[in-house]
Amino acid sequence: MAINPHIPKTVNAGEPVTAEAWNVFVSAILALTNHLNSTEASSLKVSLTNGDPAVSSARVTATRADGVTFQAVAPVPPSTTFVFSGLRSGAYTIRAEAVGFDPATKDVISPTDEVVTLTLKPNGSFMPAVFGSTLQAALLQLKNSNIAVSRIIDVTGRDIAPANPGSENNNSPVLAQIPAEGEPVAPKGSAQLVIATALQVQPSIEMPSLAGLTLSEAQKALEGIGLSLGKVVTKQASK
Amino acid sequence: MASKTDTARTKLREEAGTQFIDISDKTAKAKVVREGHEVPQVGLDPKKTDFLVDNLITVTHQQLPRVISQSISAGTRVTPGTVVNLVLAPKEAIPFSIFDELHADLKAAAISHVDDLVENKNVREVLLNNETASEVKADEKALLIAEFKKKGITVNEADPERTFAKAFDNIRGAVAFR
Repeated sequence: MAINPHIPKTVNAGEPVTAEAWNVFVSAILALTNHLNSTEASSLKVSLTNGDPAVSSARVTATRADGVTFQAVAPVPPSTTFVFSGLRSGAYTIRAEAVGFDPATKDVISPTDEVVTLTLKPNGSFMPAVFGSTLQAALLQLKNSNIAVSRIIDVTGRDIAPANPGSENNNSPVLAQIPAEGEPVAPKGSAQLVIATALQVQPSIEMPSLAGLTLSEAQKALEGIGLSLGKVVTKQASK
Repeated sequence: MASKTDTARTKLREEAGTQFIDISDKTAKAKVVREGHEVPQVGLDPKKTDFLVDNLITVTHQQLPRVISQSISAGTRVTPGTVVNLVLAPKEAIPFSIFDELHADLKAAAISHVDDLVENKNVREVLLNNETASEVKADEKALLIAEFKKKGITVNEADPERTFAKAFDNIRGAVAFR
């Protein structure tokens, strides 16, 4: 609504004020009140009862009865309140939505002095931090978070069976995780891990010097340390 | 000459995975095969053979061929079950010249040249009880020098090719071939 320009008209002390002048004054105050009530002077505050990460990724909107939708300004930390500034008076449907949560809605009448509160219900899980944990601990943590593990590879690119990673990999640390910590994982979603390569310690034997031994002595010496005698060639000096 | 049946059996044996199990009542006969051919059986005269055996000299331990080369060098780390190939030679065919840091008087000698020296218990004790020449006590050193001299191995510290250390190391190495 347009505001008519005010034309100041002053009177001196003792001068009479006409009824017309008084009515102009009253009409102006009424028009100003109506304008403030019906235009951009009001605000609406919305608070989500969920903590992070819901708040940080949430989007809050207000839809008026005529279908026009407004988006709230996200909170600037440390504030956690979403603010609609300049909502026209009337009925609105407030809707909050965030990745990993089901949307929440509430009908409100604006303006209101009360902070509108909404609670988002998680629709999946959130990826825990498993970086640096042993594979065994990470798998347990993910299982407790109802997150399936679809793939595990080690740093050499070798696939490890998530269902049966083998005892040799139990203590391998997790080097990377997908999704990252705190990201939502849908109910049918899964996680992928990269682990360090398990070092396989093979028993080894230091080859002894057999020089000077007879064949039977050499054979005994080899068999005594777990080695096998192979091809034997006996040579003599050329004539 | 092999019969047709034998030839057929041989062919079948050569096929991988074919094994024959004789379940007949006949006494099992061993056939010795070398390089795919049955080794001919030789008829020996027992009396003449016994006479020959009685007159042959038993090969002593010292005369047995010795390892001079191994397919995997000493000090290499290998996994259990690794196969090691060897080359052996009689001591008479093994010269001292294959040793590191050779004493000049042993350049042309074979290992067998010092057989009697390493068989000398006193000499051997000193050689085995001391890992290096510097550990040898004065009286032991005098013994070794005297015994070395008997084999034409002179010690002269002024000659870098004839030091006691070189003689000690070379003869100690020969003990491995004892």
